[in-house]
Amino acid sequence: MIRTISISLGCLAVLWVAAAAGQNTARTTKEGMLREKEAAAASLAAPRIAADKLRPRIGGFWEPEKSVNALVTVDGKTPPLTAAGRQLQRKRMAQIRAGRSDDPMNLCLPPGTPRDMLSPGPFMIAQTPAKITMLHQDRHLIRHVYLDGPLELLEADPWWEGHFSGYWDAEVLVIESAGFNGNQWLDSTGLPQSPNMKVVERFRLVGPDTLEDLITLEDSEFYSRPWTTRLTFRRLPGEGRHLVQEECSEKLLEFPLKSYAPT
Amino acid sequence: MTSADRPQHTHRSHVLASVGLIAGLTLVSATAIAQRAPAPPAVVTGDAARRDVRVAEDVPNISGVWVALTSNRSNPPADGGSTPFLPWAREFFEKRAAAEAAGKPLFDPTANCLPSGVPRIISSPYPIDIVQTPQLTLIITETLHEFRMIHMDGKPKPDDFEPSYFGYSVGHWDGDTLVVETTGLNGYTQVDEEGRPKSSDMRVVERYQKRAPNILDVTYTLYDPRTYSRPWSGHAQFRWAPELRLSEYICEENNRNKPDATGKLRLGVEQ
Repeated sequence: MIRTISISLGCLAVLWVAAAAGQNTARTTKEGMLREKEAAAASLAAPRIAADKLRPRIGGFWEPEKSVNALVTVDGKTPPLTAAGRQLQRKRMAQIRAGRSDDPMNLCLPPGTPRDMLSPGPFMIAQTPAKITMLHQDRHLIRHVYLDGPLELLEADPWWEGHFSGYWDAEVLVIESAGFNGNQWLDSTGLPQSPNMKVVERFRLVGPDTLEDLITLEDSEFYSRPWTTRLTFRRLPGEGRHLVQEECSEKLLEFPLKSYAPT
Repeated sequence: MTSADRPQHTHRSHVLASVGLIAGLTLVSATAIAQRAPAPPAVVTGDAARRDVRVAEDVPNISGVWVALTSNRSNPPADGGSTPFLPWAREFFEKRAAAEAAGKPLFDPTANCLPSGVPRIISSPYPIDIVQTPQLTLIITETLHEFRMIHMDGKPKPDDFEPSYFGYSVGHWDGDTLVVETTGLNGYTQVDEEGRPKSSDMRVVERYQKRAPNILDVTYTLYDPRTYSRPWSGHAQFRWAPELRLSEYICEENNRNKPDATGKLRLGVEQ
């Protein structure tokens, strides 16, 4: 409620600024128009920056608390696969055992969502008022999550990573994803994902240095009901750390890379 | 992939040119919020509010999505002079040109889904997204979904830093100009697609400055006495594009050969 009031007050301030700008500025030049646009953007940003200051700080560097190969439900059970889902996973497991896995990640293709959160090594969350950006060291996976509210997917090209939208629900950062191409595996055991899957992640601090990602997956093609899994991450000290991108594609080259300059 | 066939994003909407329109829309969305509290505030995608960031008030705001107005496969010195190659570098450059003319281009890391590194990434044709936090300026490129971390904390490159494609970048504001110095680069990549080489000793100094509220100029100077007889400079320019989001970019989907039994791609090119 307080947030709603503060946003409304912020909007009134914008109106006042806009009215003042309209009276005082002769928009005779392109430069002048651009300056006005910039001023309007800054005014619009102010209430969002104020609201952001009250939010939990999830920005910084994190790493998985433990490595996860097989996703399970929050109560430790096998995900509720349909017959089709079970059949596809069995086929993939048989291929893994036969040494000819079709796991897209073996070809350096993206893990998609939410498998990117299973990637080993550190990642950074850049927390800004209108956007959350996640950058992983492993395979330099990046998610740009604009805080536009619940996802409204009208018509989108299917993507490996899906399409995202996020919002803060009190202390929880909610990220909704959909619009997948259905080629991903959810984990290294080959849990399937259809193009119709919807993913809702709820990120929250469960301790000052512990981040929880509660992931709910809904996909009636491969799962008989929505199910939820839980990942946790520990905070790495220091906000100015450096991540060196790890290059999966180097592994696929037939020769090692070399420096060209004579030594 | 050309910019024309790059996937268009669903939620794109045009930038609102009129201040009155922006204010009006804000009022509408504020009313909507009041009616369905505590639902989160909805923002029109592409809204100018997208650019707000959490940085000190006195730091210029260069955040947001920018589209490249310049992109070249050949980046000779911007002053029109000739490239000051040292002998090995000229030989390297001419050998690549000859191989390409003969229809047998030599190995290029970027053609094999590896980063183009600094400075070649600056002349990439696809959009970039700049994110500013108090400690870091992130330059995220749509090309090959890469990110550069520019450290704004004033600390130098750690002594044990291993050379990498993007090296270690330290930045500071000189008035309204972001000055970025990058060292710790590996010697695997080139300055440009045409084949100007570089050594792992290269130091790159970039200067980012807004020429207008919606125009970002980048000038960069290359210091590499193992490769060039004098420092030389290049230039790039970007236009602010808050209506855009970076697209997915999956280079590996275009690998023409599948890995063989040993798990390696047979490229059929010489390094």
